[in-house]
Amino acid sequence: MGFIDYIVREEAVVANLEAKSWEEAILKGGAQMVEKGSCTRDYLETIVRKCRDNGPYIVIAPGIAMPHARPEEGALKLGYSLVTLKEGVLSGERENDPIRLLIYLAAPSVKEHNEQAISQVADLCDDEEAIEKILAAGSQGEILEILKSLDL
Amino acid sequence: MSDVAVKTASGRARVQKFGRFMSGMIMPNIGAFIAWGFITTLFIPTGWLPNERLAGLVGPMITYLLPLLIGFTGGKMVAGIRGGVVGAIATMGVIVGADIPMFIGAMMMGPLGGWVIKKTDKFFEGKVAVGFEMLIDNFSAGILGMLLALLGLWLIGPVVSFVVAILQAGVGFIVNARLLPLASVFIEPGKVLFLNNAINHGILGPLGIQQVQETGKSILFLLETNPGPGLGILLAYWVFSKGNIKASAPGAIIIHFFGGIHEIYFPYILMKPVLILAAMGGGAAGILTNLVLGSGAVATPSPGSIFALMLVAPKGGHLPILLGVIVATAVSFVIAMPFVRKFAVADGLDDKLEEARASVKSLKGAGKITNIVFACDAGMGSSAMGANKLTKMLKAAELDIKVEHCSVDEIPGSAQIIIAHKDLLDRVKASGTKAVLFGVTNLVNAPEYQEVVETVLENNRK
Repeated sequence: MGFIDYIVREEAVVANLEAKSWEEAILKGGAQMVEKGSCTRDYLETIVRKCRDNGPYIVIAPGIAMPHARPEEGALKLGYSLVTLKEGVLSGERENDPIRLLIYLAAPSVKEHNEQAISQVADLCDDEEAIEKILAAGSQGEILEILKSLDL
Repeated sequence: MSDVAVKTASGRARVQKFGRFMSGMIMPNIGAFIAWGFITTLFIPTGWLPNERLAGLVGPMITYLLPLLIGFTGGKMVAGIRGGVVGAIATMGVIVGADIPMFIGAMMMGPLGGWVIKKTDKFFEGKVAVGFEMLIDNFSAGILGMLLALLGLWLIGPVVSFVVAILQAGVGFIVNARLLPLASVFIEPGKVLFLNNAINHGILGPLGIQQVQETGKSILFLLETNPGPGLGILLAYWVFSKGNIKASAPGAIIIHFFGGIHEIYFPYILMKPVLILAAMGGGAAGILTNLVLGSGAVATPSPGSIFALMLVAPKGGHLPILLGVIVATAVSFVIAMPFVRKFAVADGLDDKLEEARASVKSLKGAGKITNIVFACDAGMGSSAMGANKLTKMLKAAELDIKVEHCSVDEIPGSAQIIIAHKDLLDRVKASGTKAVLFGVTNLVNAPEYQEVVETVLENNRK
């Protein structure tokens, strides 16, 4: 199943989350992943710790971070989640700050991220217009509508 | 004419590549050889601190640990950790199938295992339903490993018997024909293949005991046990090689010459098989010296250390034996010298080349680029995405190259270009890769991607 299909079916979207720091953003934004049983709380904390230790490896493009860790670090089942932040947080990576969009990934094995899903994440991040619309949207429903209208 | 030049150059490159591959299998494991050498020197019944319990390590280490390490390394060089696993399983077949330590067998089965799993993975790539990849991966590795192990187990026995028969016949013929120095031509390769016991106990031992009964001593005990040929090779490495190999030589010399554990120099020959010539030459010179001086021993010196050799010398017979060792060492050293030197120079050049390759420019002439790898910490999220994006960009430039993605800890040796988040570049470098590296910060739309595409275009434009 593709990334967009999953997000739409599971309504795995949080709009305008409030967070004061990137750590808070990752932990709060990931709560939905934990609720849906995709990962453990530890998974999120591991991501925060690894970012502190190794630098913000999850930042993938200007304004966008993709919080994820290794399968064995607490991923329980295949899951994705899209979270927008009300106000951007600073990751410390100047070229890409501030971060306003979080795309969570969890998969119980490296192989299980299917190409289609990853490809859709890449295409979505590449689509500046769509990203702008998603960031401007005020509610979960609006974001889901935007995603449904995308032809990826 | 230039065509011919190109051909020779690529032929030489291929020989060098093969040589590097051979040493690549052995070099990382020298530490294990040294550990085994020390344990053996110290704890076997004829060692310096005999200890039955600790000596229990000796057999399993040389029978299982060392060949498995070589097999794993060989497989890993061909197809990553997965190749290593299949290579190790395959190696197990020849280990169990033969009753001698299987170094050569490991050097063949390891890479074979890696190669087989690589081809199989390529075959299944893109043909497996989503979600079944792990299952297919594990079962293909398991089943292929099993088949290779069975194959090795069945085939290796007859192969070893065949080689033993040839060596025994060769040595027997030479002894009968009184061409003793030529025995080294069979004995030295036999040693490296761990067939020395078959030669020693099968032919030389019985004949030697007979001679002792008749004349009080026998030269036949000194043929295989002379530490000179091995010492000469190790000394050549110590003096003329570079880097890790040079640094490991003195330890090996102690284990070999004073400990009498000849096996420790075998990997140094396996790394550069041409050095068997030095061992043969040194051995032959030693035997000739012993023949001329009339040296002999009263029993088999075991282990073949300089001390044991002195202990089995008949009264007044120490000096001739010592001279036999010295001459063998000198001749072996002199023959090994140019080879080790040449390899050191070639390896040195390679190092410089590798450094040069770190800059994109020198990729020119490195040939067609087919292996591009995107690495990230976990090998699943960021790298998969970057790889995806880059594959698309390459496709847009009409380059049909699939960019693979993996964890920085599992970068395959075949990678020619590696892209990773710039924070991870140090870890990529630590993997010892020779690939050209690109560090990026924007994984979705890095300006560096265009550079990668242009680099590939330039290199693959025939």
